[in-house]
Amino acid sequence: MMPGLQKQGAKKAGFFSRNFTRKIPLSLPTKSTLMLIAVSIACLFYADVEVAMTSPWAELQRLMLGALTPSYPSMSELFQAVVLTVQFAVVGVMVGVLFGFGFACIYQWAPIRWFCALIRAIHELFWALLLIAVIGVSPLAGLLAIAIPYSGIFAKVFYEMLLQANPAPDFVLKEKAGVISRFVYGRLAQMAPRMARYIRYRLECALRSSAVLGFVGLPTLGYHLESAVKEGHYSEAWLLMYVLLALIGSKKWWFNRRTWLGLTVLACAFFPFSESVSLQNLGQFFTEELVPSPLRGVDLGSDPSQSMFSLSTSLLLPWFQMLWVNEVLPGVINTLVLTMLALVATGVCVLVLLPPQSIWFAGKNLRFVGQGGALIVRSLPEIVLAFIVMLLVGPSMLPAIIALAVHNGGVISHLLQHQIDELRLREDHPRGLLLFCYEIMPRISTQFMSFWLYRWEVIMRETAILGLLGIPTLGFYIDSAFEDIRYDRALLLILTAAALNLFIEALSGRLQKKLYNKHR
Amino acid sequence: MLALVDHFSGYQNRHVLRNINLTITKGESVAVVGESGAGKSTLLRQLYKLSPKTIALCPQSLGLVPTLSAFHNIYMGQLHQRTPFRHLLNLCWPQTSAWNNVLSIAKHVGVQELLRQPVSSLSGGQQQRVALARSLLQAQSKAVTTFIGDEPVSSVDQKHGGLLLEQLKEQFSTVIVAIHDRQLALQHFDRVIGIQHGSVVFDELSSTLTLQDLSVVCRDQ
Repeated sequence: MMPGLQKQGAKKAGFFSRNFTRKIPLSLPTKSTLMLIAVSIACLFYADVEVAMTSPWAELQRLMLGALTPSYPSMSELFQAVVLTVQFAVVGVMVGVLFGFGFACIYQWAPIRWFCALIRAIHELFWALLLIAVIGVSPLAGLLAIAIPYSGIFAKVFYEMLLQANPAPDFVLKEKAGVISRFVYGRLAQMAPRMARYIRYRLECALRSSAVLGFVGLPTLGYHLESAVKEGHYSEAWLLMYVLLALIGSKKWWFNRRTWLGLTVLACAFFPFSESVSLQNLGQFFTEELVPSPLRGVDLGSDPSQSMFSLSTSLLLPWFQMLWVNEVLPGVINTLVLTMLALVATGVCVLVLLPPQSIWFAGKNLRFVGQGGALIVRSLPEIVLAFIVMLLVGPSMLPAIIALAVHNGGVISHLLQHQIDELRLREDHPRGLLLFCYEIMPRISTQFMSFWLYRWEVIMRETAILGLLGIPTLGFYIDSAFEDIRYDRALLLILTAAALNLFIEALSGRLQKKLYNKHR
Repeated sequence: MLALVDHFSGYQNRHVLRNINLTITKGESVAVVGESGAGKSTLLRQLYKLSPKTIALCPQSLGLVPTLSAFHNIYMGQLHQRTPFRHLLNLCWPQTSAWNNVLSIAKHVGVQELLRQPVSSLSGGQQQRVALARSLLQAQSKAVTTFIGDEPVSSVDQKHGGLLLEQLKEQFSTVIVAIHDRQLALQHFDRVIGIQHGSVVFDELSSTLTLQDLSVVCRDQ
């Protein structure tokens, strides 16, 4: 065939130049991935990932038995939990949409942007803990815990969507129509379907959030789930998980363009807004309990020689130093370590979960299993998954890493599956592993990176929450501060967690922009 | 030898190809001409399906991976041979032997300077050359004797297009190419097949055809 060409290639070269000369410059996705992996390997030295359980198989057996024999003793209790879970989600999302839309209209104003960034940087569960401290364990606290951060999220997303609207209709109406009709006809009408789709997606997240609120004492599905797992009633726990899965899976039948309004009205009408709300210690909460403990009872105005500066150095600084060394710093380090490890593990999970869902690698039966599995892991909240894994491997960072990785891996692989199934490859493409490495992964690398980086901040938010399971992230210290009724500490720690989230959001946003520009 | 006998293809009652009878023997170089939508691409795909193991295919969409370097895209012509381990190694860390082999092919089509660049940064003509190099690499395997290309030189000027076609004819014993440039079709191929509405209108030796004959199925460019 081609004797000339074949011979030319086989030139002798030294060992080093043969094997250690990097010939192709690394692409940006590859470079960023390698960097993230390097950081997470460094993190591994700080992480506590021990397997502590002696007989995970016995526990697994009981767990599996529970999966096959789901049951629940009190149907009325279950019904109430389902109703409350749905109410929190629906009313919370709707209030969030209302305020979010309002904020979106004035989002150009920097203080509003900062405000929205701050309220969405604080996780629903932290909002719930705060609100419970202010107004007591009441349904209203749960509702606001969802509505507040979701307002911040909706504001940002709606604002960005409205910016992407085609400016032509708005331009045509200029000088002819009022500001409001121009906005409604020119911009909102274009983006309404996309906004509706986003609201439907957010409702799914809200159902999960609402269930998770049970972990701090609000009687949603998660509340009963936590106690069932703690007491070892696995049949009950599984039934609750099945109910949650069914709720999320059937969402499009009970929350769609025909039912949403009626459902919202019903949910609002029967919402126990004022139930067990106590506003007695509202004033005391803000004037006393949120004030850093050394400053309590100090009369700021009485002694002019004591300036704010000397006060803060003499009283506040030691308090802050003590907190910094004992709680803030270890909390931040553990949060970051867990985030990085979970992020890289998420990437690995995507690579494992993706092929069995795709037409390129799996037959009909395997695809059914793969897509079903991904549906389950992305429908169950991370904290529930972590709870289950913890039963098997004992308390350490490991269950948290596995839970975060599996859940987020399920989300990303689901999004990527649609994309790769629509790829059109040349007829003589390679198969199997080589198809995956040479054709599929390089083609979707940019998209993969952007989903992955977006999930970075999501993982960071959730990492803090997993502290409730005893992993010493910021959430752990926040939870203990609330338990000890030290709200000043709790506030400081929550603000630290928020700052950390904002930092990661900014970092991943910058990286995403860089990738996007490169891609263009 | 590739042969289609009384061949129909398409949907139930909408045939893209109607009653095709075609035999292409080893050693021939065949140009397929016709307007867009006439069924050239479908015909080439059907021919490819007759014996995919012995044919290097260069589709109209090229099938390049935009994020990978030109080196890797050319190298992909080899993926059907040898062990996957070697290919994965070359994906992460190109080995010198593989590099030199790809380089020698790249020189034939004039992309030796571009091997390090991602294909997405190359021009249309450069991308076509990379896709051709990928096919040429496949010719190193003894089993692959035929080249089938769908407008493989459409983004290259006539002179260089001719040179590339000669390269293909040198490396493959049988060459079948869909082409819209009538002059190239007559100059570089032994045989020209004209397609219109899914049927063969003429199938002649190029020495017996004139540019005028081809304009029956090719509109002026």
